[in-house]
Amino acid sequence: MGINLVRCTGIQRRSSPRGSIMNQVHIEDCWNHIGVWGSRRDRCPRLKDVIHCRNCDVYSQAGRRLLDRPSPAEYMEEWTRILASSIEDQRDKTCSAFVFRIGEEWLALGVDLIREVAEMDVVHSLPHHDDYFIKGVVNIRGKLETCISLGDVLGINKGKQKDKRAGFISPERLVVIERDGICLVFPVSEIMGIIRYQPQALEDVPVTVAKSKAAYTRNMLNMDGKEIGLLDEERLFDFIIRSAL
Amino acid sequence: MLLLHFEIGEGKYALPAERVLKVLPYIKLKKIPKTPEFVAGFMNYRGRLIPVIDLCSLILDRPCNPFLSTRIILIDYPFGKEGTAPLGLIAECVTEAVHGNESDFVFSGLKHQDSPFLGGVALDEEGMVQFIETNLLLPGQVRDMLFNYENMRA
Repeated sequence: MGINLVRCTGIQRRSSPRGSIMNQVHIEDCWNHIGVWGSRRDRCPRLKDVIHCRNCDVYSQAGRRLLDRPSPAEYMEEWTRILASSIEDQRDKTCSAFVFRIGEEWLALGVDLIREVAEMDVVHSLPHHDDYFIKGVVNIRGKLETCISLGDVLGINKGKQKDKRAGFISPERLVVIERDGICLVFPVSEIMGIIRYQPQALEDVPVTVAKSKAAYTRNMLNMDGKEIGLLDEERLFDFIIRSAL
Repeated sequence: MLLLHFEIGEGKYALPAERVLKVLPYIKLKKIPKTPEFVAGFMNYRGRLIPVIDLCSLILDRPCNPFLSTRIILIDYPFGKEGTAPLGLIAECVTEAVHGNESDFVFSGLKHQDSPFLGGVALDEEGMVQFIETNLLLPGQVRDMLFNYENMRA
């Protein structure tokens, strides 16, 4: 049975009468019917060549056509504001840090230390290992790496346990760090991402901060009302290597 | 060479990417009174005033649709002997950059009296793409009006 390719792939271009912007884009989602996400018997003949819909130019063109819809008023206003603002303040922010949360605490490490962020996985415990912060080993891309609890090293209370509501995606991740060929993995409650800051924005660690945490915190950084503790990676690695590895 | 593809109404056009400084979203502009219809206005780009022209108005006599795919192409516009200055061009469907050769664009033999910026035409698998000669975009009068640096210094 022949499929009318033009019909199934045709994305009706806006046929806008002059000045009218109210028409939305109409996209024929052939990939949901005769493509890889479809359940129809008659498959698209293009699949023979492209294997998967995402390799097909009909699919990518449709993605581009999604932009053929009126831009919301806020969008224009926001960009007008962004482009009018000076770029200078961004340029001054020369330092960057990888920010994450453990329990209630926001912490940061140097970006060059971070090797990757992985999905939360099962941590296999190691028998006869009584270091309080060694959790065990995890599988990172087929290699077993040591998993530690940074929260335990720093003496941070894990706080509330994770939210198990239906549909709630846990923001917990495994962070893989590497220094001088030594690789460590630790779980975090949440990752904020990479922030840029000015070196002058760093503050000293207040004396009231708990002792073990203060020992490994180099500086504090205030970002959008959050107090972020910038960790001293050298001391941290030294401590872990000395006591465990 | 890399070409930036865009559309003016139903027609496809291209300009060399080496001329392009940046592709920006379609933002609000300050209309300039007593200028031709195709001069869309001034934009405030990082605290700098940059004139913007609407290619749909210039070619089709109707403004570009305010769609998400309509963008401002910031080009390095050469004028006079003095050098270049940034100029914004509003065009529709600014969603793709493709590799092509200048030799793909063949001249139709048609001479556009009013629009000398319309260059050769290339035939690609989906249709025809016309080259835009960026340095011929503005009529002399408008160019002198928008880029009158002697006046600015005074």
